Amino acid sequence: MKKVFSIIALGTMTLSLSSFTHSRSLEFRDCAAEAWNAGTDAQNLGFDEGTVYDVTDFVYDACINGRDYSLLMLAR
Amino acid sequence: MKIIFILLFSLQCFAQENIEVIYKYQSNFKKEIPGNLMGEILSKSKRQLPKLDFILKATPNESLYKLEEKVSNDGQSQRILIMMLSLANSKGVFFSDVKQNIFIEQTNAFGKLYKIISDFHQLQWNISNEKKSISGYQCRKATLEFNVGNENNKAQNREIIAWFATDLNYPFGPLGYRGLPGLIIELNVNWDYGYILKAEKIKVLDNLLQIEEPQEGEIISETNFKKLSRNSEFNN
Repeated sequence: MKKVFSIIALGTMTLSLSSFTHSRSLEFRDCAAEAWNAGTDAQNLGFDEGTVYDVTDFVYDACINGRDYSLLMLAR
Repeated sequence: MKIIFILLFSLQCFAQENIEVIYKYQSNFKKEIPGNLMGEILSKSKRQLPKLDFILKATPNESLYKLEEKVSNDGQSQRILIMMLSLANSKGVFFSDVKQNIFIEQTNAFGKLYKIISDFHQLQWNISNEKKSISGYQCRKATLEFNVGNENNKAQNREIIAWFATDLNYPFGPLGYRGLPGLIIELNVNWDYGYILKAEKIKVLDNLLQIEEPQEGEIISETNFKKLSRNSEFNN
């Protein structure tokens, strides 16, 4: 019985770990996509590669650190 | 003979004068600001960049142009400032040496500090006969056209209009625009989200001016720098 419980516990732990990894990876991909889209907007508007990179990097950094970059824009 | 010597000496002194010029930014957007994040950044730039001073220090042979240093301890404010400056190509330090035929742009790009090296004498200006007076200086018009990225993206075309004063014998201007027979008093970077950099104060300096070439940064040619893109760097 003890053995069965251990197997279940181990299975649950593995499952939660795998879903944690999955959700982290989704979060990462969202930030990357958000940043990439912002950079593409900058490129389409006609900004150069350096500016496009700066915008992409700014959005990515704000996103992974959980900051709302629109609010940052409003700050003085 | 004595008079001629004094006259020549005076002319020599005048020719060796050093100057300090403060340029101010003014937005010159021809298109409506979009309703996305880029629009918010553009709006913020339009409000904030005119508050900054950009300084050009020059001898008749060398010059250094950069944003007057502002110390900020807030990392986020600093990042936003850098991004706004990037929109106006103004985040770097621009160094010129006429005699050595060297132009250096020191800038942080794609997550790394670079020293982009090119020739001082390379911009193919088209000087016209058009003249206008700016801040008491009689200026002539010069134009330059180029593309900042993909030739197929017309939005990346730029038309530069420089108004230079032939009375001020310094072949320099803001953002590394250079090589004209006189100081650039007004620079118009003309495109959808363009801007104007105009000399607000021109100060003749009595003291000796030491202009130092930027030291730090990975040395790269202008051609190789243009090949870098966010595609390679962002995927690291």
